[in-house]
Amino acid sequence: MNAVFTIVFIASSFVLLFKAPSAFLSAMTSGATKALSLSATLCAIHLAWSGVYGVVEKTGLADKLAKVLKKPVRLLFGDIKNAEKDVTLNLAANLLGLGGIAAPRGMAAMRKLKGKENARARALLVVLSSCPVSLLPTSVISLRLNSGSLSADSVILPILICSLLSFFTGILLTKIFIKE
Amino acid sequence: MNASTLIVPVLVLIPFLYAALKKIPVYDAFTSGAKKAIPLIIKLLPYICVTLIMSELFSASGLNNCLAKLLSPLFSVFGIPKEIFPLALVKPFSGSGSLSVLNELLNIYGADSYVGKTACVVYGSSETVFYVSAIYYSSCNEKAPLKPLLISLAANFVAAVFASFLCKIV
Repeated sequence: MNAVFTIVFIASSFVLLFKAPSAFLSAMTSGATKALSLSATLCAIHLAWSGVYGVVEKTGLADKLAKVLKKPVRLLFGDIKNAEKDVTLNLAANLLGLGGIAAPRGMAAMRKLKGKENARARALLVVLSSCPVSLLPTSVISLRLNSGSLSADSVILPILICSLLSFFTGILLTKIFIKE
Repeated sequence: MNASTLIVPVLVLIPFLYAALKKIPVYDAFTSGAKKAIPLIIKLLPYICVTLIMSELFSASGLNNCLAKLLSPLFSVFGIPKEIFPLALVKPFSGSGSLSVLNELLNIYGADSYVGKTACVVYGSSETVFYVSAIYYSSCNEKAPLKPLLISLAANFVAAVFASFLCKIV
């Protein structure tokens, strides 16, 4: 990331120096402004969903769900001890398109998957969260409805098929390229 | 009224009803959960900031368009229609950005056209890869390694290629 940032930053600034030097400062500050507003949005999402999750956790429903999905998670991740529940909930929430729940659980799992021995598990979690299976693409369907589609839900099945393909490609490539 | 809009409220309602039946203090449980959100966001802010400054400079300098032009032959070879390029290039970086690109495509080409459908499937079966990798790894104070990022990009690309093909035959 250091290399990517340095290269992109220097190359972009260099081009701007010749093209539009006055745009440099505004690009910097608008980036930071966007970061603040995105953080505010994220904070709102996390506050709401972490609150809901607090209730879910107290009811013991989270443990029950984790138990149901234990086998497939074990199959993918091996023994990951105390991070298992967070990983399970992350996968389940991603499947249902609940990004608000998925991200905080995923990050909690990342913090619990410490050390070199868990590097593969962390990578796999990031890959699976980057290639989630999408059962209910709600935002796509509502956009289609808005733009006057006659068959707004006709994309549900193709999206499911393509996202499954992406999911399994991600697992396969991780198996091949990231060793224990 | 779309049935899928009911999913979220129903999924939230179930644990609340269950908690009420089990006589769990819901108010306390909610606040103790929400409390955990704030330190996390404060920790994330510098990482989000640096990423967005980078992407702002990248697009202000016009280098992103150069990259798009450079990559377009690669996309054409795999049968991804050229109208989809901007969407496929923005999606890995920004969810809200790509959503507005998708909306534009639907308005120009129509939601039920080949381009419109393909755009929807490409959008729906891909993820904001750079963003996920950045926030996940920053939450455990680790620099994001390149391999999972490249693997995710490749998997999303495979899905986009297949989406372009699938929408042609159905």
